[in-house]
Amino acid sequence: MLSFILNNTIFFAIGAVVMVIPGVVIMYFLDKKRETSFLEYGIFAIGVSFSLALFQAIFLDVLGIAINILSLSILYGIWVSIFVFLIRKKTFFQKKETRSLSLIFILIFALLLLLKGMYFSQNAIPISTDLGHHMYWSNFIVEKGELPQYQEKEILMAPSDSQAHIISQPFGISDLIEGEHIVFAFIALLSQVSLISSAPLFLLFFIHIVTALGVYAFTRRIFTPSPWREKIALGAFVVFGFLFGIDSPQMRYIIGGVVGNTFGSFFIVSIFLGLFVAVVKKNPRFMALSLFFMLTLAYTHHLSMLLFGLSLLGVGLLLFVIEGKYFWREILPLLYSRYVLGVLLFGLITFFFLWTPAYILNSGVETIVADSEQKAEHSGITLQEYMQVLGSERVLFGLFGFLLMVGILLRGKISKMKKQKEIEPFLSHILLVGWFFPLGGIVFFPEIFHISLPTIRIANYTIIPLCISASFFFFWLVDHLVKQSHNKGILIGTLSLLVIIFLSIGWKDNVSFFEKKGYAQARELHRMASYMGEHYRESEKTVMYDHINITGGSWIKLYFMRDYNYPFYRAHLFRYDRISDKQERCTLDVFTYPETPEAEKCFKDLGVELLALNEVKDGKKFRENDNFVKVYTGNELSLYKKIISEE
Amino acid sequence: MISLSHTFSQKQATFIVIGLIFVSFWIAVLGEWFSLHTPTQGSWEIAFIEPQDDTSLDFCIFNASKKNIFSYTIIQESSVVEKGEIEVDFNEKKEIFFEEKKFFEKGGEGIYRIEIEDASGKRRDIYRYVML
Repeated sequence: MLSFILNNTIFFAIGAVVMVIPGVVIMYFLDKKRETSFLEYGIFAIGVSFSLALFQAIFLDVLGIAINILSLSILYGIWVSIFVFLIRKKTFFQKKETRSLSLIFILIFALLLLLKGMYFSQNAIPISTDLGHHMYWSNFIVEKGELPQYQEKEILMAPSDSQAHIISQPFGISDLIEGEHIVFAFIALLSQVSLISSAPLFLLFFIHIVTALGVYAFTRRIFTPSPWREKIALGAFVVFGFLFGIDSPQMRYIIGGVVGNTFGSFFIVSIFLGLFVAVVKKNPRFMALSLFFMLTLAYTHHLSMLLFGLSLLGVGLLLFVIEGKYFWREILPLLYSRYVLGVLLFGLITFFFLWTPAYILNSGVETIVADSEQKAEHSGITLQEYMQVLGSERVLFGLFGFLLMVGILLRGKISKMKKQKEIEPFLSHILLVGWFFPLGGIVFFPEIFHISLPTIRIANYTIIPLCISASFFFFWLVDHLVKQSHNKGILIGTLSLLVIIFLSIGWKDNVSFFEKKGYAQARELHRMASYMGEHYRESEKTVMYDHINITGGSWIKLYFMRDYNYPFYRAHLFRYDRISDKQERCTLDVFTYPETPEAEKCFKDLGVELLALNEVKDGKKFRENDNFVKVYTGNELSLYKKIISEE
Repeated sequence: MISLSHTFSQKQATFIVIGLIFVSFWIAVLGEWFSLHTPTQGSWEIAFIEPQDDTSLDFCIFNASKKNIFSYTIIQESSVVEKGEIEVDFNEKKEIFFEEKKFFEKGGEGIYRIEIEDASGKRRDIYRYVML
């Protein structure tokens, strides 16, 4: 117990050192006038820390310095020293005390943490497939001390019976990027905590909480001119973080190890927040900060970057349509600053000359934008499906909110803004509508945009503007009801009913996800994987596992660290029918038809000796086959070994 | 009395937010610790100590259920060549070594099956073709 507490204390302390401290140091110099609120400051600091981890890793690798405990200790030792120096200065906390967070916010935040924390503690187990894939690369950095070239090998089928199936040379993978893996590796290296644990999930959970705080801070900032700003911000915080707070893309994504989307959402909020602060405070430093975050996002998740780019385009176009002069007058001068140009130059050199992401080198974006094979899950969804995915009340209120904002903007364009020459009270609407509509367009009509991506995944990116819009509409409705109602009893009754319906549906959705723990399953998987790695990591014999019936099988590769695609695995059956997907059949044949000559050829040519499978689902055909022996068995999983005939 | 609209200073807010995150993380850590240290019914595995050595019947048991007495039987074709019992604690891995010659003399080359039964009657087996 004591060592468990000690290890976790070290892990959290190192997590804070990597994820917070460098950013606090940079923000101290960047925001000397303290133009940001306490929460904004913290959110930017975490974004900066993440970005610095990424670029430090790139520079270490480019300079040929090993990424190991020594190099990182020196780097972070410097950051901590500067931090300690700064915090000892009395000016670190503002001299002039300004009130910041309210008690109601703290209570909502505590409830949110309680809800999410309870779900997290039940499910924080290293068994999700996605996280297993990502942790392979983080572990690669830990073990090799360098950034990975994203490559994998695959089985190549023999063109004729007289030739042998072979394993290919490594070839590039386009959909993986450094930013998804570096912070995990840094924390693992410095804390010496294994990545085969719940540690990576804690980091994702942390980023998710910070994103929820970001939604609150962002809403509060963009509705600054409104007297309802605190209420709208609290509402958005509740709708985003608390109601439907377990379902995808929230805690279920965290537990599911959806790294790119989690990091992407955080950076999208941070970038928009930075841009907004830059514009309203007329401070180019925040414009540069946003640009720096965009660069980080480009190194972290190309889907998020692409969708963010479309949203930014939407915001820009809407601003042009509503009041084009504002862009030339207020925003363009911010771009012509040494800070922005400096970051731009840094970004261009790094991106194109020092370390170009794999999706650029391997044309990953082209695959997204023009995929010849249109898949069913890429073809758009109906409004009903959309409501089901994101929560019906949330969607309904959110969509009404957007319609309301469009109405306000149209009315403002015709009358008010022309007279006042004042657009800032409407910037929040422009930002939210411009952010949402391009994404909504792809969700409902992907064919117009020629983008081939799973629609549900894109739908999840609309959640932040949607939640803010839902809160905006809710309080607009309350405001109107209050103003127009003459009977207080009916008013209070109507509002209470509205709140109860909203809260109860969102809460019911949360409760439905508190399910059976998977610890036993995870422990069994990792014990078997450890056994496999212990005996076959260096073996010339080939190992395969069944991805269909072994939950979290991707974690097995961390016990081998031989290749991203090793051990080879039987994939979901539909993948063998897709032209651009699984082009070999050996992994299918050895598990599905092990007695056939085709499977026998695979066993022989590829030297397949060990098969990991689900005993309950697939054990029978191997038990009844004299060519296999069982060398390992547990509650669900077994290892069968092929008897190699001496010919 | 403190009202819901009461606001905290930046310094207070910093400590409250960090404190709440810290507490929620520790609750999750403790939840994890208890889950890892709670025995799971029927959660045990058996394996040959050397999967690649076809001349050895040494095996191990890993027990993640309650402290258990496992009985094992080694069967060659249909005849029992060895029997025994072993106590394995929760989260303990126990290795059982044999001097193979003893029962290879009794049974000779062929399929050897190790059947294990826990105290509740749950059975599992591993087997291999022993080549002398």
